[in-house]
Amino acid sequence: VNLPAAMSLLGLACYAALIYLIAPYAMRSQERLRRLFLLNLVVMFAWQSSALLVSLARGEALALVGYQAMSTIVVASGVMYAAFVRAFLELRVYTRVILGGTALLVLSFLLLVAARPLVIQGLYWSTQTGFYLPVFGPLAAVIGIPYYALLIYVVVLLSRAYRQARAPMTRRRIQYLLVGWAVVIAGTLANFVPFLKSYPVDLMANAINAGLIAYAILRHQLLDISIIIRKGLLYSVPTGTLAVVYFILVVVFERVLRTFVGYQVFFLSVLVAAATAIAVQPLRDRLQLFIDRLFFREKYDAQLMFQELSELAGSILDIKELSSLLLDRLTETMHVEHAHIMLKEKQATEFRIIARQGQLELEDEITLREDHPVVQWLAGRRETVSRYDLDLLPEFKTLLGEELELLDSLGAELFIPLLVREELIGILMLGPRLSDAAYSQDDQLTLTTLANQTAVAIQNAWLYSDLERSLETLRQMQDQLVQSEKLSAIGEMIAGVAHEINNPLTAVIGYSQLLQMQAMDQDMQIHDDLGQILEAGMRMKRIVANLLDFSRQHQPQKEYVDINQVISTSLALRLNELTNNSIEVKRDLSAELPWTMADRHQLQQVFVNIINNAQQAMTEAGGPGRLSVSTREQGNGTMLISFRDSGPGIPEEILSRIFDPFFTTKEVGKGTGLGLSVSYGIVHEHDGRIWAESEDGRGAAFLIELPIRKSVESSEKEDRAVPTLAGIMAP
Amino acid sequence: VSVVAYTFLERKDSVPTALELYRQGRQDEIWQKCCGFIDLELDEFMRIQKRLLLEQLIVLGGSKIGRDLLGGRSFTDVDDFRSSVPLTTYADYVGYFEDRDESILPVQPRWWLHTSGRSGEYQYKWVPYTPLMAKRLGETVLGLFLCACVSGRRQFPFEEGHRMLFTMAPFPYMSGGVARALLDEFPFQFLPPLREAEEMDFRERVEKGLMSALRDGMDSFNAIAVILVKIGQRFSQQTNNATLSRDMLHPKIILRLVRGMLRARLDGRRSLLPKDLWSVKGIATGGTDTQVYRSMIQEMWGRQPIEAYGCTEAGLFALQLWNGKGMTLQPDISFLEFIPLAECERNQAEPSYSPRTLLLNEIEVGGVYEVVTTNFLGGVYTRYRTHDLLQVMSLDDEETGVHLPQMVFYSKFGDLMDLGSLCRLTEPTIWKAIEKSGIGYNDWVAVKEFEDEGPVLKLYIEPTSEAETVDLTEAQKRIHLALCELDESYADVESMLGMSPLRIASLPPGAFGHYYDVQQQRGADLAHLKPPHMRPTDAQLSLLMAEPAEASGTPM
Repeated sequence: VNLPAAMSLLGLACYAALIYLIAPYAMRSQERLRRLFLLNLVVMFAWQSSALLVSLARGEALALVGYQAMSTIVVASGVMYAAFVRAFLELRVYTRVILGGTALLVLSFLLLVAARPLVIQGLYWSTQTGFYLPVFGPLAAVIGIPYYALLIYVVVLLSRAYRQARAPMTRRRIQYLLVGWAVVIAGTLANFVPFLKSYPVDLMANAINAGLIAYAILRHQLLDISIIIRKGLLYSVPTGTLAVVYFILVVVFERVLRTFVGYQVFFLSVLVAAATAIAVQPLRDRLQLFIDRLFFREKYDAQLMFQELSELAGSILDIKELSSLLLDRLTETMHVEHAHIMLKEKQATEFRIIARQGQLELEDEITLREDHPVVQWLAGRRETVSRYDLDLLPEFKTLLGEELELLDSLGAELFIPLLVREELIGILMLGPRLSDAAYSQDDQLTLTTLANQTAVAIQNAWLYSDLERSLETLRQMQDQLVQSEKLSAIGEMIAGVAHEINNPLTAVIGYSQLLQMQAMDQDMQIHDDLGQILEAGMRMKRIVANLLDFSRQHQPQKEYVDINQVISTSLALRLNELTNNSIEVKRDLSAELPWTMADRHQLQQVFVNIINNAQQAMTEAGGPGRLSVSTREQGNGTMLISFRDSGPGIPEEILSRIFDPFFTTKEVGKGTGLGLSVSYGIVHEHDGRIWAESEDGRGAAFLIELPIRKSVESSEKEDRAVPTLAGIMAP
Repeated sequence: VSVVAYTFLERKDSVPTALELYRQGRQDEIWQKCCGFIDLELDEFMRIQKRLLLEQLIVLGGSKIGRDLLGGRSFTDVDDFRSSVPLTTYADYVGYFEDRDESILPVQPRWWLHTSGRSGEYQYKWVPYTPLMAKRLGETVLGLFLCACVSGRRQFPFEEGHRMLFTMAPFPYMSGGVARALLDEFPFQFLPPLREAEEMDFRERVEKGLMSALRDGMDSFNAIAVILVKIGQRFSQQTNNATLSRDMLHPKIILRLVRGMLRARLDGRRSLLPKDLWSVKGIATGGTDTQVYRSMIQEMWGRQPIEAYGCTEAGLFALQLWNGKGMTLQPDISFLEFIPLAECERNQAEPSYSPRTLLLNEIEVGGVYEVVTTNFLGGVYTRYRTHDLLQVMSLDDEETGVHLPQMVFYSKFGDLMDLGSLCRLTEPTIWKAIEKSGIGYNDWVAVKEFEDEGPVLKLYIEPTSEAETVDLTEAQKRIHLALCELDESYADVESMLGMSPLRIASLPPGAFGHYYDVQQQRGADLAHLKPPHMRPTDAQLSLLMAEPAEASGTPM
């Protein structure tokens, strides 16, 4: 095998393919850079051609012509490459570079033609390489030294530009040019190393350079070559491979047949082609897959990720879990340092981080308001925006310094909108890639598709969650309705009965008192018996009064009250009783708890009732107890009041009945069973909720949720707030 | 630097320079950075204005001067700010800036620039420029040069080492700050180099710059319009004289001149023009004379000049685009308010009256407004009256696809020449009329005088050395006709008053040169070496009319 010829041929094929693909594009283009690049390819093609000529030449004269051409072309390549690199780095292509290079080229040519023996003294046949090798003369240095100076100059230019470049994509592109050119230099230098001289290292280096350039074009959009050209090149490779396989098989079969059979089969080509097409198809598919993975790795992985996420999106309905899973796969596939998903809950005005992935530490909870310029861009333009854009696009001139600081703390490079039916429901934020490479247009396309899929999955999860919440609300409403209906019916009946009992009872008590006064001087036994009747009558009167209280339908007298203060008053009323029974009261009343509109006295009645029940339960259980009272504002415009005791708790079987009227666990005479029913009614009147939680033997908790209703005055007070940046951010 | 200012402003300093973007091959983004604002819609413009104002008020409120200017109040509402904070003039700042005490400022300045103002009421008007203000100034000037050199959006015609003849006033004048800020953005090669130029006087700077441009070429030019015209005229005259100074005996210069003359001949002209010597990519200029000399500059230099508008106190905040029509305002330099001319006049008549201001989305086509600015980016000038009047040409520009109001400079408020409330003449109108009349003049001044029939406009004109004397009757006739053509209301004055309201007087030869020399000897500031065109004081007029002992040419 003539290795040098094969290497030259390989390099030649690479450069020819590049020229074929780029020439129409570069010739049409007005951009100097692309035309210079094409010229470079043509010069390299010529270099490989002269090398092929040398390696195939079997006569000294032809080989000498080859070397003369090659020497001139090598110099031309240096000049062209310097011009190309200057243009690539957006530097002025100095006339002096062009003039100097041309002068060197002319000088080289003249020397090689007119004083050839002083440059190339002669040739000798190398049995080791299988072709003629040159013996350089004293003037070879006149060509060589400026040429190498030019090479070093190019390397210095590229290295400096590499150090200065900030954009990862630019660094990558320069990197490939730098490495490619370094390989070429190393290849030519190998000609001066005795034991390497015999091998076609320089030719191999050229082929490698061609490969690197091709790879940089395909992978890193060197020269911004359109994707159609990239794909054209990629998909022609498997076809080309097939053709080669087909060609080899036909030749081999023909040889075999001619050798062993002695004649040719006319339809052999057709048969071999058909067999190849069938047999090699799996090979072609595998090759195509390999190329896809090599050049479109992220896209390939992304497709797998899409498949996986589509399956998972259907089965995971918890938004946080879904978001975390998505970020996990995303950072893994796209090799991203960190990522966040921000979502805006329904009716909320801010986007909050719902899932995070990566090592980034965030000090505070970060939110973006609806009027944040980035949010407005994503909602309005519905396009991805990068961190660079924030510095440069005029729409982001409105960004405040503080807002920029906040965004930078997220370390995001890309902000991708999560859109459902053109409405922005969230933001996917991606940090830099682990490789430091920039996000290409292809990446952004992939990520946008992913974001759309994510948005739909999140929307589904939300809908499911809404449905669950609606069902729960429905169930609660049903319970409340039953309870209310029950109370209402009983209330009506009680009101009637109590009214009917009240009149005769008044007579019973009145006459009992009268009789008792009369009997005082006559018979003490009768007097005492009448006392018993009177006491029972009075007790009945209290019961009747309670019954009437329970059944009375009236609107609470609401005012702007501090619930903490109402609780404190209630506790103070029962403090002696609690202290005497060794019950410790632990208060955790939120200082931030807003005031609300409520009937102070009714709520006090509720709280005292609950405190009484707790105290009685703990006392009966014996030993010291603890009553924990807490308040806090909930995010949904309500407050939560909690009374938690350390008593025996409420058995599960009666937990659902404790708010029923007349339900009591106390012994007869000690309770009417109306306290919690009345409390239920009062809280209900306040548009709140009351419920109990308990684990048998581990205490009980009564929880009251009340809406926060502001008075007109308090709203005015808030309007006069001190200005802050948050104020600025309001529309 | 206060903590608040640091927090708010430091982050905004991350914007890469044009050079960084250029070296990364991101030319498109340089355009976005410098000229992207022209793609904004009016509501986006207003949103930027309002948000940045509220940020600025918080920054400003953290300083002593800010607390004083804002009356110790905090603002969360733009209308509240406009109704509560009074309009200011330099008198409100002079006490703070006498010693240039930086501790009273919200942000430590990078530069203290000054302007001496037209009236000379103050020796200097000092303006602290924060690092961010300086950076934005550089971006705006680069935007101006971009517009001067391109024929449409998203082009970037510069390379490192682009040669620029820069003949503006040196640092710490604003134009000196402009030059430094521009170099921070992109490495232009100034002719002569900036550091050397700052040490030279104006005449030397122009001479050296031109010589370098003749020798090595020039890509663009920044100068006031009259300088461009004077240079053009000088080349034209030198062709006729055909004399070369010793400095010009350089092979490159001779080659350029020969080539230029050849071009002039081939073009059928005998006189040499700058466009024969250089193919400039762009000409950027400023000042009232641009309107007057626009066509003449295009004829001489082969490109129309593109201008910017601004003032030292507010920075540059309006750019003319590549089509050379109206100027487009920038949203992120200053908060802009506009006082209708009628309100200015009422305020002049009743100083206690506080004029009403409008915002950009409230102004009307054809309206003339005084600009009121509030610095952004940590500056201190707040609701500052510039006394500059701008006229609204249109609310958008179809040709360039800009959807923002288009403005032209109208006049300084104090320069308006009101003739019996019948017509209002501006400096550009009078200047254009003199040019149009075709009389040979070196320079001129205009005053308003009163005669029995009413007020008249009196022009004092210094004839050129070639003209030596002016036929006053002929000159008056020609200028009057030109004024009638340029201003319809002026034409009506004659019919209403029954007389021509124009009077012409001739100044002695070399009057302006003499004025320049005397002022220079008196140590006057650069801005006061020449008298103002409009309404010079009696003392200035007397000095002009004094017979110079020895006539000298008018300096450029």
